[in-house]
Amino acid sequence: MAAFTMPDEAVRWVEATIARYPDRQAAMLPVLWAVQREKGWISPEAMVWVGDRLGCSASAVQAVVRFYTMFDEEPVGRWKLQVCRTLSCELMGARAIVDRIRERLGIEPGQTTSDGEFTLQEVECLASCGTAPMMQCNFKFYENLTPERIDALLDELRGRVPDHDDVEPVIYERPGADAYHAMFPRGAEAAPSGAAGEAGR
Amino acid sequence: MRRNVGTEKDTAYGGRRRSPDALASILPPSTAVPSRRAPEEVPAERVAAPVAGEIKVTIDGIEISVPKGATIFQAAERAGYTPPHFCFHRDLSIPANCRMCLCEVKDQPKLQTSCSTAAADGMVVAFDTPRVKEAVQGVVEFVFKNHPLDCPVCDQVGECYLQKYYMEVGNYDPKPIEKVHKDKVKDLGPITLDAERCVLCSRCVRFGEEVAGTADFMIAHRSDHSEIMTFDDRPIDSAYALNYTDICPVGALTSNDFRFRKRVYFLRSAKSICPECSTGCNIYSDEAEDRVYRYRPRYNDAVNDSWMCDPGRLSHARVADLSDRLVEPLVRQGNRMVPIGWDEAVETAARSLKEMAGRVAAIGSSRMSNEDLWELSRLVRAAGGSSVDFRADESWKGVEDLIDGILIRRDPNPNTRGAMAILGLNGESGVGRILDGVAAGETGGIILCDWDPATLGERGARALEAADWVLFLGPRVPAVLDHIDMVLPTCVHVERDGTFTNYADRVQRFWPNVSAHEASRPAWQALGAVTEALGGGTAPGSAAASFAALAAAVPAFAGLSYAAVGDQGAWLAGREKAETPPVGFDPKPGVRAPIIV
Amino acid sequence: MQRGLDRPGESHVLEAYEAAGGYRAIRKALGMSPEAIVDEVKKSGLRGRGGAGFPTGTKWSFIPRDSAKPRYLLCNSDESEPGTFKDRWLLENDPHLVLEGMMIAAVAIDSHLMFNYFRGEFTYPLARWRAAVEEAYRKGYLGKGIFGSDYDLELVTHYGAGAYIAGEETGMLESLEGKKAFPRNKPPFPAVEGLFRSPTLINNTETLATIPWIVENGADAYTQYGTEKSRGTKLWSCSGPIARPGVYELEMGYDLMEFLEGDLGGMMEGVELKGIIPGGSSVPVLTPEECRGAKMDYEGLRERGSLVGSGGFIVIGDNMSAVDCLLNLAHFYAHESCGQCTPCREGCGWIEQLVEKILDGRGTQADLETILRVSDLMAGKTICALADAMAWPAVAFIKKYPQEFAALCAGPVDMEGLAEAVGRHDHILPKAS
Repeated sequence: MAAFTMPDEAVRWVEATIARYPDRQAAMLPVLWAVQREKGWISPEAMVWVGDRLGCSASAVQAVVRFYTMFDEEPVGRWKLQVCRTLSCELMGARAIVDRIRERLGIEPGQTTSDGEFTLQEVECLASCGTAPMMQCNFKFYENLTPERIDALLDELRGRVPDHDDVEPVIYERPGADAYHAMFPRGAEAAPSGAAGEAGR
Repeated sequence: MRRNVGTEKDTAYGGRRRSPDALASILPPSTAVPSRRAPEEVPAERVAAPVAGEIKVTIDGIEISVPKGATIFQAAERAGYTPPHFCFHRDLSIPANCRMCLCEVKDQPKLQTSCSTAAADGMVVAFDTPRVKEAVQGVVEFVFKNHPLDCPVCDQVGECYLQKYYMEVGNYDPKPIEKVHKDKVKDLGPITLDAERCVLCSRCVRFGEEVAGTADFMIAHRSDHSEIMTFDDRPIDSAYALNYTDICPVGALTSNDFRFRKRVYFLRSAKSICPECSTGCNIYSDEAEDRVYRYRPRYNDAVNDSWMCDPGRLSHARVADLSDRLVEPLVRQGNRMVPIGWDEAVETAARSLKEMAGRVAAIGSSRMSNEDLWELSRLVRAAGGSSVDFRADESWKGVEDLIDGILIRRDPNPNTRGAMAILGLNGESGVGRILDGVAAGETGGIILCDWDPATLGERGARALEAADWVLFLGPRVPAVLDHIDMVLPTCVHVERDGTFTNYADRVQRFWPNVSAHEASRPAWQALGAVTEALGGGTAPGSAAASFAALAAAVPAFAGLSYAAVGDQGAWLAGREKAETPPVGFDPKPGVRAPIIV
Repeated sequence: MQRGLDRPGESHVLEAYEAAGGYRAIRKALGMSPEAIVDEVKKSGLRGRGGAGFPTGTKWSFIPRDSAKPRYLLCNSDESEPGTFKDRWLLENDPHLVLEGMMIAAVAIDSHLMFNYFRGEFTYPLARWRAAVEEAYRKGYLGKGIFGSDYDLELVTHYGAGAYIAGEETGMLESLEGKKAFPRNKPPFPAVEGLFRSPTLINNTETLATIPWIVENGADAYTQYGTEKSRGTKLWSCSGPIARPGVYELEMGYDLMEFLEGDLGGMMEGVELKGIIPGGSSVPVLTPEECRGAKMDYEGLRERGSLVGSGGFIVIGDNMSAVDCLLNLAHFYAHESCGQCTPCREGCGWIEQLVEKILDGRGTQADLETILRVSDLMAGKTICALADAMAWPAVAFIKKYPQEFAALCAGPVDMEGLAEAVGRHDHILPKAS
């Protein structure tokens, strides 16, 4: 297997970052982020490289990679769609959002489209509960989503190149009551949503 | 058949010793982890000096005195109760994550983990309460939630903490629950990992980081998907890997060397000393059907803590290998070696030595025990000789050299320091001079102990060729028998009593675990008999008697006896204050329980 | 007190912040003795806004002053409690206010190195924050001799990678040290042995953002707001099917229903109120009856059997069943339990399984009782409070919406028996003190 390397500039950034902490290993998360940003995912070879830089074992690095959910141990799609599924979003229709993406892309949460364009994930609360439902797409939040907005967004993303520095959230106008109720297939009944329970789990 | 006398009932995984333990009968002595002893049995030198006054703690109504800094767990042990536990290990840091050792502390609303909570003066602690029992029962139930019910095919049965606790707390109402899938039977080289059996105590993770320094294991993922694994599922490359199988409280990590060889409840243990290097790790030797199946480390904080190296541990296979063992005394008849009875052999040896008229020398071995070497030196004196050495190679020079920073020392012999002291040696090796003396005809008779003639090189070959009479003592058939006139078969360490003196001048005792092979005898016994036949004094009736004579005669051993050496060893005179730091790569002081017992 | 609330658009820029009176409090603090700053915060009665509500000044006073080790200040911006988004709002819109609060806290404990730990998902707040920090460094507000004094103060901005438990203060220490965010055993407390085994003060973002106002206006002015025991104001993150969700700053003691029906504009059209989780997903849910007359402060909510927590005000409508709500939260905690302690590691997943079974129509009364019993076995028996944060909602939802759970069970449920089971285990819920 080819030796793992990082571009000189990234290596300089890594060293400078390590130097800011009282202890080398403290730079673990930023350095792993740098690797993921550079390579798209974190391979075992990368973990050995990181461990060498930080003066810790490769197993310590892998333990960290597998503990924190934002690190990927395998390649993901160009666009990583992370839909919040936690309570405030579910109350506002998150299941309808996930369902629409599943239908449109033909993938289940955790999967990547065969063309490598999209990865769908259900994630936990992203702290945008007041503008629920919402998702994070790469490094950008999209808030106040509706299934229709998902349709338009997916079309738009296909034609775009991801920009890591584009982080400003897109906050759509809050859906009105009609649009809101449309996201709940059984309407405003007080019945438990057993049917919706099949979605996305 | 002689049997071990050193077995010890298990208290490793907890239990209330002061009340009869219904489970005692199902627990094999082989599962014993040592040193859970009542205070009065602890050798005086191993109890830490009281730190500015001891503190008084009440455990389940029993008031006990412990040094300041001791944990509640340690106080409970002193009071005769070992709290149930998975994650706590005396030689590792304390994560307090298994939540098994909970106790009620008076005036504290929450239950406390006894392993991580410092005892305080006047503290009143209770383990024997419905609240604690319910919580512990709950933890066992939680552990079982994702634990397979595969005890019939699990090699840990009989020494499984979970099995024991389950039986104790009695969750006899198993509910059908969907379990989280985890891997089975991953071969990691020296050990096998069954992640689904793991209780996530993290002992292995800590051992790898703190002791072995190889950081082999990690806990990956989170929540009930947490799983121990190695980096990238790679095999373990460590000289200490088999310690993982000892510290694993359940059957998640099992030894590829031992698994499925023997159910542990058929094993009988003897306390022993690893003979594979000068460190002298304290071990248990476990036998069944008079055959050694495994070695396990035995706790000694002055030597090896709770650990031993894999090469030492795996050397049990060499002990169990009887294919090249000598089975009876042999004597030369022309070109042939013929069997001879012991009595006749002793008479013949004495007669031959007498014929040498004092032209006698011996090459001992640092694989021999203190008693063996003492009887060898007596025999040479009785025969009128004066030259005894054992340093036929350079290994003795590495007696103190720790080659991996943990336990393995360069000198592969267990008794170099004892041999030096008993034979009164210092300076350079005298073996060359002895051999040259034989070659030159100055010495006629030579006693060669446990050295294969082939290893003595050209100089040795010339000497043996020139010698008038050569006596060989050892457990195994030497590669070259050409110039040997008599062979006396001796026992290996697990077949007899004795002591070794380790690199730091600590005298340590071992006990027999299996019968002597065929007609072999302990070397001290054989040598003592020849000495008596020579008129050099009575042969010792036991290893203990030989040791007592040694202690009376050799100043370094002054004051020592088998009773004083006990099962944790004793320093040679002048080394009483020797300090031994914790064993390991990166022991983290401060996060471990202080050594109080 | 949150300056940004009045200055939308440019509130994150230093110039605007200073124009609104920003960075006056730190200048004042640099002229005060550290003890005086701590005393002022103590007198203000400010309590930690991250969730636990521990008195802030008391926490500050635990930092040993004579330690030879360095002291660190750590701002907890790992806002992950479901339903909470006020810290993100602060970091995006008022980064200088947070920064000033951090500076004052650092001066008060004589710390010269501060950390701000962001959750990894906070890319936009992080960008805003970094720009603010850069401005501060350029102006000499950070670095050598801040504000022309001889006080050196450095800042490291750190960010996580997706772990709720990194928001627990000792989990954060481990995370910042480059490890898994396993909460630590206490003692030792972080104030004595925290980051890199040095004394460390950890405060929530909102807590620190409250400091400048207190220092500038004095504790006496702060205690004019709120109630006798719950001083000042608090940010509430409001979500769910309500007319006007968002972050609100309320004086402590505000009437809950008045807030819901007035400020929040009531429920969305076509939705009736089922319950409110007032302080983030970990605290017990309140029924509409319990909400009526409730005061939004530490004592008021405790009196109703819930907590202020992080101020994540989640309004639940009648279009979602209580069983669905509990499953959602159980999934969250089962996903986020660090896996360290046995009861939490196995218990969260177990509860999730059982709730899912009930939702699938396969559940029984025994399963409901097992959920209650498992919750009881988890609560208070682990290193950190995540187990309690699972146990409370589990017991509270079953206790308060038993009919909804019973209706989904296979076979009849003896409601009296279920109530008895609740009675055996609801001692774990917060009680009025």
